[in-house]
Amino acid sequence: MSKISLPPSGLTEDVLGEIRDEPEEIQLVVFTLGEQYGVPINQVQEIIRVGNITNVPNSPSYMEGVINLRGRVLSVLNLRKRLKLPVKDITKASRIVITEVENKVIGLLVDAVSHVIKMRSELIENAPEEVLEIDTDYITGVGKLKNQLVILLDLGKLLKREKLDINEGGKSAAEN
Amino acid sequence: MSTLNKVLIVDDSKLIHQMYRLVLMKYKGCAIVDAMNGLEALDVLSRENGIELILLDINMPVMNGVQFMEKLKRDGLYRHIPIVVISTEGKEEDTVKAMKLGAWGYIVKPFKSEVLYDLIGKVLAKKPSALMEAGTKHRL
Amino acid sequence: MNYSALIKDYLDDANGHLSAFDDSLLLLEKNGVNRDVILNTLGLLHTFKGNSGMMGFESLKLYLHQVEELLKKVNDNEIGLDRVIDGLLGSANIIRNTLRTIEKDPTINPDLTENIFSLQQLLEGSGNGPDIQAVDLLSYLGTKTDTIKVDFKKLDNLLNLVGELVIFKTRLNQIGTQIKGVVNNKPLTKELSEGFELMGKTVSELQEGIMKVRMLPVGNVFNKFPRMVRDLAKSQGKEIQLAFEGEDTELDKTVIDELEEPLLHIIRNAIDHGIEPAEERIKNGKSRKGKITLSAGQESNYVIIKVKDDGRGINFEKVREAGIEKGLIKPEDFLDEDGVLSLIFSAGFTTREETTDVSGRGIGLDVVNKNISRLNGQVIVDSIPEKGTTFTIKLPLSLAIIPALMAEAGGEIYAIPMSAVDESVKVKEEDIHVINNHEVVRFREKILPVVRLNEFFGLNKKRQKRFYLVILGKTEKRLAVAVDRLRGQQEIVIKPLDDTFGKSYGIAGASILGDGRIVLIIDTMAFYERKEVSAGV
Repeated sequence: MSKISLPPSGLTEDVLGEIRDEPEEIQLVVFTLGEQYGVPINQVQEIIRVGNITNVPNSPSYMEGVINLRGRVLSVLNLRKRLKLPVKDITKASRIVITEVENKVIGLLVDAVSHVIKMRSELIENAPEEVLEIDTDYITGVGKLKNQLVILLDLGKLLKREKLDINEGGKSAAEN
Repeated sequence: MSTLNKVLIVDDSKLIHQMYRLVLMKYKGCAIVDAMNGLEALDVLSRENGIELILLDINMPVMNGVQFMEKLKRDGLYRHIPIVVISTEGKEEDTVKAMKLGAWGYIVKPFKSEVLYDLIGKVLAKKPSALMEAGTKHRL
Repeated sequence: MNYSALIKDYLDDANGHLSAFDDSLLLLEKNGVNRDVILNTLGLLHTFKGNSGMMGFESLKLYLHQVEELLKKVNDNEIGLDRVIDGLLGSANIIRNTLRTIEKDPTINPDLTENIFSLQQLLEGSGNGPDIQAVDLLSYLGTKTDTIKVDFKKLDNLLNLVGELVIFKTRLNQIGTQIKGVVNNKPLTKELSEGFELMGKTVSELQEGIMKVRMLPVGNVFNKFPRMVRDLAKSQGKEIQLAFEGEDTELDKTVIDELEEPLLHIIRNAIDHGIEPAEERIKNGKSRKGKITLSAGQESNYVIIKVKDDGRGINFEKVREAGIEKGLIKPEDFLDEDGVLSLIFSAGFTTREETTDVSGRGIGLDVVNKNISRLNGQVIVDSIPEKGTTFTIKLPLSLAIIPALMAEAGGEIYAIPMSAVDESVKVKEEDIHVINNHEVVRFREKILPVVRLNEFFGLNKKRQKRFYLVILGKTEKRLAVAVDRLRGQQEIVIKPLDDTFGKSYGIAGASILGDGRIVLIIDTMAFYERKEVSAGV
């Protein structure tokens, strides 16, 4: 990438026109949940096999439990449940994608991890209007690569909305 | 010199915050709100009213300047508040990124106070028209 | 912040950069060009330059800029290190002297034009740069310091590691015991035992050492209150003296942080409801000035914090009446003094309107009880009418490692903090009775409510003929938790659960056992809250 040189200060409009736009390329970790989904590689720390998952009582259904990752206790989100997809049993191919978003490390339980792809940003389109309902605004776009579609997830939103969905724990316990 | 009443400074160095306080003393009575990184800045924006300018460092832990701009852009918030990116040599790419994401201007460290006053003056002069154009002009 | 403090910050910073610059140069001189070292140095010079510019030392800024440029050229192989290393070392001394000048008189803005020129020549490949300038020998020492700043997270990390070590030690000891049972070789098993003992001792010392590093004097919290006490007392026309005892007692920083709010509420209560106005005190033969004493001390593995006032004490009868009025107890309930006092910690005890009445006592006290319990501590209140009230907070010395009772329910193991546990008993299904749809057990002449852990957590139910009751709490706050089996006591390291998906009700955290398994730590407060919820239905 060529080095950009800027004057010591300036207004955006005076400067921006003079700098050629470089095509941006992003790398995605692609995994399957029926469809293919992708998250930016810089949000993924590692991908691990599914080992012991300790169930946490009184937690939302999409919270699969906690795991011990080298001495750290991490929450694992069942992504199928979170995305309201049909539930599927854990198989040999199942993986936990360890992600880090806004300083939070969370595991995502997925059916399988397929590959890492590079995608030029212009190949990513906004998700079609009909997909963008209130509870799917964590889809940032749809990437088109040859014959496949990759749905891009915004983990920040996906994880943040959780808090809103949860009832005050006491209620659910009292109802038991 | 134009008037300025409230500035948000986003920088991870306390010393720099203090330095800005000195520099901005030139604007009499200007209140200064501090944030040590992008995340804190978001928090400040959600509760403080009347911020007229944001001075935004690029290199910060937790949430850096570019990530902060991405966040604002994504949520479509605070477009009316001018943001000046405080850049350093070697951070040109990030500076351009931040400008594409909606920053109004930038200044490269280290700079003389006069240069900053000059830029702030230019940015504030832009304000009314930029407000109307916000969201269209700097779109990616 | 004023200018001189700013200058001091700048100089501290600059001396730090300079000493790192020195180190880098010496390293380069010794080992030759090393990109990492140079890049690092460029980074610090850049910051140094920026800071100097911001402080108005324009000349120094330009000079540092030149040094930076010079080093960049070395990095880009445009100039040989050999040719400039003396110049660079010389520049460090020039910077040293400049800083010294500023330190002596911050109003001087040193002029380095000459030095800039000489570096410029070096940059352009002519001249030899600055001669090594004579330096006041003392200035090599820079600013002296006995303290280091460490990110608390790093200490937390260390403590976590030590925690793991404690766990492994426990596990190894278990294995050791097993080996001794199987191996018939006296000298060898003896040596094994000795080895374990030595290791155990070292681990304990290490744990203690790290705990100490994390400690701060409790005075840090105490000192936040004199102003509040003064202002509140004044606004209520009272005269109050605030005294400290044992403020040097050191506490883990996490405890210090968590202690502030509970203390605030307790002290506030003492001012609002404990200490009487001066006239009333004189009439009752007391000193005109009321006294509130904050004290801290250590007892075995616990820290004891006391807030003692010499005010009017708590009127048991009034508290009882208020309790009945609020429906917390029934008129026919018999409560001893402890029982009555514990009412003031109930969430429903006070309403905001009654701040000055004695029944107003307890504002925020439910919060106190909750917070302290979550730290696996206890709050005890003693009161003597007309003499005063003492709140005693008992906390584990460290929040990170606690003794816990391991209990099995529904096939899972849970850890119950020992601070909440009174005792445990083995019972039969017939021992459990049902009163008003609530399960209870008769225990030591009292009827205690029973909470079945597997029902509470919605786990697999497998009714067993014989199971265990873990008795929690004291006096009328007692409660029996039914579990399938007990797995003994163990020291566990508390790790927080991530709360992205909300806090799981009844779970205070998690811990990792020696075999890598995760156990969840029970938040015993949840049982009481639930009792209140179900009692309210």
